[in-house]
Amino acid sequence: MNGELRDQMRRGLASPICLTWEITYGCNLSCVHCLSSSGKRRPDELTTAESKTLIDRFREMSIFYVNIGGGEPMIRRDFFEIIEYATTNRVGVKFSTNGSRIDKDGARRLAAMDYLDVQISIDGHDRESNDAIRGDGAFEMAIRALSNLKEAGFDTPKISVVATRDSVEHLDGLDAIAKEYGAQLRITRLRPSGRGVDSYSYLNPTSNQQHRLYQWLSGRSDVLTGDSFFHLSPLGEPLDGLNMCGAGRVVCLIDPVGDVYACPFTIDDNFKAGNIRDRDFEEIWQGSPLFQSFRETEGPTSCTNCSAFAACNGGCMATKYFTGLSLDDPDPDCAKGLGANSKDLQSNTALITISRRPQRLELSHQR
Amino acid sequence: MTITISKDFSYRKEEFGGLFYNFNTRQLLLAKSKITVKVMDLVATSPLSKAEILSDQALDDFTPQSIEATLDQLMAKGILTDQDTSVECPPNKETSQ
Repeated sequence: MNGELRDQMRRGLASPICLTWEITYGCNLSCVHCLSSSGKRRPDELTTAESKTLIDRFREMSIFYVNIGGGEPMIRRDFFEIIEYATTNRVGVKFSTNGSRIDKDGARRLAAMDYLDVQISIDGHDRESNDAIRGDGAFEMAIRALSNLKEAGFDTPKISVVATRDSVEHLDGLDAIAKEYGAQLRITRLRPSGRGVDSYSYLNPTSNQQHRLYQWLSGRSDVLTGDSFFHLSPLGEPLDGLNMCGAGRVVCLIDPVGDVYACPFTIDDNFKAGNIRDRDFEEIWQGSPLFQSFRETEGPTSCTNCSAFAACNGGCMATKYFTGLSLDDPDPDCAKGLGANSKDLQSNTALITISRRPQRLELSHQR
Repeated sequence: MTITISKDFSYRKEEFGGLFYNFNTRQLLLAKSKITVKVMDLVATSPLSKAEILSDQALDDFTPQSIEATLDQLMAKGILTDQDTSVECPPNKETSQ
């Protein structure tokens, strides 16, 4: 991604390139790092009709695709109705699932659809390591889903792995699982959001592990990352992607009741831009003072003079916020060794202390 | 021949030009040249024949040769296609731009 385009992206786009839409917080699992602390459904979730109206808006705004998640999105009875409505309107869908609802019939139905990606979440290379994070039986249900998708001829599902202290030690094993099922590996950064606030201190990879992860990813353009490791790009050649925080600039999140947040990792009132039941989504996207403040920001003040600023643009806003840092601080896992976790690169333990009460967002610091 | 956007691509106008999204590769492409953006803006509104594109006032600043070359490039990349192998654009696709 060249600098000129990134500057354009920093100033915000007319519409998101993509957005995350969590259609339910209901979930049959209780993963220890769940970004949205999912479990129970909200009684006031968007209805099927409201969901279709929102998809119409996505189409009108030429939003290229939506990342549908939750919760477990497939527990909604209208799940297929929603994704089929989106894809037939040429709004691409990528949905994340634990795989529990992908039986043989479901796999065949998914395989028949265009503009669709399926991401099966796996967080360990074997049952023991995966189920320690995702719960008993989770590994088996994910593998069964992959098997059903393969049998149905689904083209290249994704295996979505959160980088943890354990999983980064078994990347080759995870890649082997992906290859066995004709899938593509996707590795994303652990964020201290939702239940991740509680698990971040023992799951977040150490600095040494993050450096090794960067080396591993650098040789593998076939592994997807969701553009989530841009804080590591100063270590060498930039990883594929924008290499900047896209929150409120090129992406956002819509939650099950229509609240719009800056990104999937900032489910907090300080990052809420509005609700689509109260205000048109395009108006929220284009006119939110919160999103405007992000678009006017050059970057964290403590980073803009850094020699590596062009590579990482100051790192992940959500990770700073939920670890109690100022948004003007470096990313806690700063690859230049300036972050709270990375000052001692030889340390085997994360140094950061989790703040259960994140500081209030100071918008003036964003400018 | 009626020219329209391929079913494999989506396009939208942006302040700096335009953005393509390739549904097959999941890649984002940037349209920066003025002539490409003008041609895409026209075709995104409704399928048009080559003659209609060449004669459209929106392209008055460009020579027929450069317009044809742009169309050829977009066709070669699979972004534009003849209507027989494409899907119709959603009716409101560009109204928000």
